[in-house]
Amino acid sequence: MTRLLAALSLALALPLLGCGPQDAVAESAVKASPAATTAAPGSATVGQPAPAFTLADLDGNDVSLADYAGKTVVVEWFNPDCPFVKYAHGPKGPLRGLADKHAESGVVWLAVNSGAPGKQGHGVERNKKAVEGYAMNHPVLIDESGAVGRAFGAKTTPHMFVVNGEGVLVYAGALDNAPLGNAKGTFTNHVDAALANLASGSDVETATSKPYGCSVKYGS
Amino acid sequence: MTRLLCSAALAALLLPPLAHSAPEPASETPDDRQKVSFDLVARATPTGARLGLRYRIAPGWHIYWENPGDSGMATSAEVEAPDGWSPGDLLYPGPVSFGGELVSYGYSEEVTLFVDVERPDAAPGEVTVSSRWLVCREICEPESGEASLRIGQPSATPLPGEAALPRAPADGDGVTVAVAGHALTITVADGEATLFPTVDLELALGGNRPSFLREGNAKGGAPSVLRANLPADRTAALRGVLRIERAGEATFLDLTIPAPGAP
Repeated sequence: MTRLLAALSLALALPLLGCGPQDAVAESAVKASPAATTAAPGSATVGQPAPAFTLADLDGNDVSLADYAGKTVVVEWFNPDCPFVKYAHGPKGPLRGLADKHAESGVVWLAVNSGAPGKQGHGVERNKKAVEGYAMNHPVLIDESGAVGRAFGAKTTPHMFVVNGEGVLVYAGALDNAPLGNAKGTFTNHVDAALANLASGSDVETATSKPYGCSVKYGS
Repeated sequence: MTRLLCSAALAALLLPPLAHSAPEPASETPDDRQKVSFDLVARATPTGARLGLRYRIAPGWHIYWENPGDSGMATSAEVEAPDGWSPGDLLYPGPVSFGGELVSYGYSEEVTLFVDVERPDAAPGEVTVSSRWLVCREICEPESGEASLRIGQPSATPLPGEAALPRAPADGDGVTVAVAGHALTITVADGEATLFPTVDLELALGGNRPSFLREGNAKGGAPSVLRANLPADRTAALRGVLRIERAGEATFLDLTIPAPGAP
C-alpha cells in the first residue's frame, strides 16, 4: 500500500520533471522577465492529506510516512551544505536538539534531501558525515529524483512541514522568522509553535509562512 | 545615534561566522573570497541625503530583491546616522527573474539600493550602513559589508542607478488596478507587463504567480490583463512592482492594491 502511494506521488510529479533547465544554468541565467508562468511548483496544501511517500534512509532502510499513522510527523527539507542548514543545525542553531526535544513527546522527525546527483549536499556518505557533525538523531531520507520534494512543493532548505496524526498537513513554511539567526521582530520558531498548538489539542495558529533558504537542488 | 532597521535585518549583531566544519562537496571549489563588493555613494540635498548602497556582484552570481522569490533571502541594511537625522526605508530597484522551476527575484552584475535620509539642517555628518545579503549561483553564500560616508554639501547630480527605482504610475502609463470583491484585475494598455509581488502580495495570492495575458484582438495595442483572487479576510493594502517593457525600454512602477474600503 505504501509502495503504491509512493509510486502514485512519483507519477503525480512526473509531469514536472524535465520542465526546467539544469539547475546550474537555471540559477545563473538572467532572464528579463518570465514568460507566462502559472502556479508555483508543488501542490501539497495545508488542511489536506500530506503526500504519501516511501524513501530510503542513509542505511538503505525504507521509511514511509504511513509508518507513523497516529503520530505527529515533522518533515524537514535538508541539504547539509546549504548555509541556512549549516546555521540551523550548528551549535547554537534553532534545529540543534529540536527534534530530540519533541521526540520525548512522541513527535517523529524526518529530514529529506531532494538534491540530485552531482548537486550540493548530495550523496549518502556526505549526509552520513553531516548527521554526525550536526549531532542529528533523526533520519535523513534520500529523494534524489526529487519526486517527494516536488509533491510537497519543497522549495528551500530548510522548508518545514508538519503532518498531524490523521496524516493531514497542518503547517508548511519557514522554520522560524530568523534566517541565519536574524529575527524579524520577536523570534518565533514556527515549527515549535505548531507542535505546541497540536500538543495542546488546538489548531495550528500560524499554518503557513514563506520559507527561506537555499533552493532545493532538484535535477532536471 | 539614530538607528534604523531596514527590511528583514533587525538584529544589531553582525552576521555570526559560519561554521565551516562541514567540508564542501568535491564538485565545488572552496572559495572564501567575497562574491560581492559593497560600498556607499551619496547625494546630499539641503534637508537630507540620498544614500546609494552599491553592490558589485561577481559574474554568474546574484543577490535578492525585497521578495527573494521561491528561495533566497532579501538584501537588508541598517543605517546609523547622527542624532536628529532620520533614515527612511530601504528602496529597491526593479528586479529581474532568475531560474526556471524555482524562481528568484534579484540582481546580477551591479545594483544600487537607496535610503533617503532627512537631516535637520545642512550641517555635515557621517553615516554608516551595514548590509547583509545572500549571494547565489548554483549554491549560496551569506555575506555582509559595512561602509561609512561623510555627507557634506548638497549636490543635484543624480546617483547612478536612481532611474531604476520604481516610480508611482502616471496617467500616461496606461495602468489600471481594479478590485471588485475578491477579484483583482490589473490592466496594462500596451507593452510586455510582469508583476513582481512583495512577500505580502505573494502570500495573498496563495503563492500563485499570476501573469498578464493579452485580451481582445486589436492589432498592436491589445491590453494585457492580470486576473487573480485576493483573500476574503484581507485588511491591508498590498504592494507590488510592475515592469512594463515598451520598445525595448523597461519601466518599473510601484503598484498599490488599496485596502478594502479605502477611497
